[in-house]
Amino acid sequence: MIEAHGLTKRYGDRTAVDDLTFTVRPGTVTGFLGPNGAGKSTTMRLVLGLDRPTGGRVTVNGRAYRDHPAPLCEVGALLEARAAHGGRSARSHLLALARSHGIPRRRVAEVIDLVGLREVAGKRTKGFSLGMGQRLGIACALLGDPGAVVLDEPVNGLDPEGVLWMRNLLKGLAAEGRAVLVSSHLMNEMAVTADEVIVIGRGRLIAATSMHELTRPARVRVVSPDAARLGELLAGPGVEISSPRPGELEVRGLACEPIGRTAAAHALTVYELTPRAVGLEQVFMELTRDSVEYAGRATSGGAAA
Amino acid sequence: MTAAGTAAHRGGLDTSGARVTFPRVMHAEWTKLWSLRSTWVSITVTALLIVAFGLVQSHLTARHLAEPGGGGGRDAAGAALNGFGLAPFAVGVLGVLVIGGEYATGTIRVTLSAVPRRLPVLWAKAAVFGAVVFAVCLAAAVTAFLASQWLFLSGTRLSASLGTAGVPRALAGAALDMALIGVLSLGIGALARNTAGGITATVGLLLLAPGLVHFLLPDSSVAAYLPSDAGQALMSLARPAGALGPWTGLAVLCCYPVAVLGAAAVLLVRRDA
Repeated sequence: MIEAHGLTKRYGDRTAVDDLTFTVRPGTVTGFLGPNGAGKSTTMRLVLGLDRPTGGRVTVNGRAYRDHPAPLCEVGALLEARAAHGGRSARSHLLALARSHGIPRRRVAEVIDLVGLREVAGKRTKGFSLGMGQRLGIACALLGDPGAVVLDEPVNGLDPEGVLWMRNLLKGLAAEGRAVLVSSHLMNEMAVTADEVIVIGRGRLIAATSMHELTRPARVRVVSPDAARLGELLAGPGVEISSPRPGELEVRGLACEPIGRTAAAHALTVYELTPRAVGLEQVFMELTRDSVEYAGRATSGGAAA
Repeated sequence: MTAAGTAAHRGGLDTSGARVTFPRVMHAEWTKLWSLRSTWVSITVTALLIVAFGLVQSHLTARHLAEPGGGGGRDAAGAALNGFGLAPFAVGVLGVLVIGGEYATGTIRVTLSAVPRRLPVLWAKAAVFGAVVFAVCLAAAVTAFLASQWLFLSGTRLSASLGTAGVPRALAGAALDMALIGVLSLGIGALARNTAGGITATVGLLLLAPGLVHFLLPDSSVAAYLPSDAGQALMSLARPAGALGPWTGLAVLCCYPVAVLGAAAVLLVRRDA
């Protein structure tokens, strides 16, 4: 369990993290989303005590990170893909980390196998690809068998097989009862991996909710020869109905079920009743539109991506 | 929720015994030190440098002594310890790398998240590196001394053994000098958080400072208090005029690493990693 209360970090007069309050619960994968420069990495560094907060506090399993007698067994972290000395082997890197906690050598071999680095464990990490570096970082994070895991962009640099592996790993970690906080720019990947979502922009909390809640169907498409009549019947407070073309309705504010019932009750024919989910990407763009720090300009008049 | 809860799922690790202790942090630093090829290279080069320069200087001294009317010569251990004039640079560079290398590669964030109290990392690095340098330099100094005596100086005016008064102190003093310079440079590396800056500062202090002081203040006693001169006092059998005595030299020499490491400790705790 990771809990932040009013967490604030200023560098000079720039506020990187502004009054953030959120909780990462055990047993869930929490996606941490925000445009570049939104403060995701800073927040993660604050969780691990690498940066000192200007205000507020963040605790891991009820205590500040630095107050734990065995920090690696509380939170495992991957903050940078390349955080190993290039002249040292992956195994030595992990072994040194294990020794600081008295974690047995056997565990080092275990995590090396877990992340699939056995063949290269004795090689110097200088020659590692970005993906191999990510795997080594995951091995470090899991070394102490921690109850919470904090991963900054772990999917970057992974090949498709690696992306799938990471997705299953994160879900597996959550299924084992761990709290998993993972940041990513890959919305589609987050949409299928995360249960909970924290969205920040310019250091501020924009949304903290479940993935389901965030992307639940926003409108329903109805195709019916009696569209006009059905529209009249469905109209009511909080319901918004438009008709993009004859015989077709776009209904906001009602789920499929009441629409279907209303149609049945009045013996109206319905050809199609389709919930239109909003993609996470689209929701994210709308949520963070005002807080994008580094926006590019579209080249041909389209919306900036 | 942590140890018990997850160990059951993974069925593997018993984390009940896992906790950070100072000896464990030292063990981790020991592992990091020796798992880099650069450590082996620097340490070997330092030891070879000490023995080789000691032998060459002893050979020259012996030839000089054999000449008719050849007097002078340095003290009995002085020639054998000649390599200690150069060794500080090898030791100093490695000392900066021990911690500067962590900043350069980002490993420091991993290290400090394992030991979030931070200070044990600095103390452990200093203790492990200081001890290694002392042990290696002591072995090299004894080897250089014994080999010089056996090959060149036995039977001359500078004949001596390990039992000769002052010799053990000079050999141990030379090794201690290197260990303290190693810790000093490690502290400089921790302050600079950067290998290039740290190495420049270390070389500046060891090489340029004595030159500048001797040049600008030729008659002053300030030079005797520089690390280079104070260290020399520690390993000399004879005491040249104006030099500090061995124990004063040791006390002065200790001030440098203590001050620099102290400043590094304060900043390590204060600064964001």
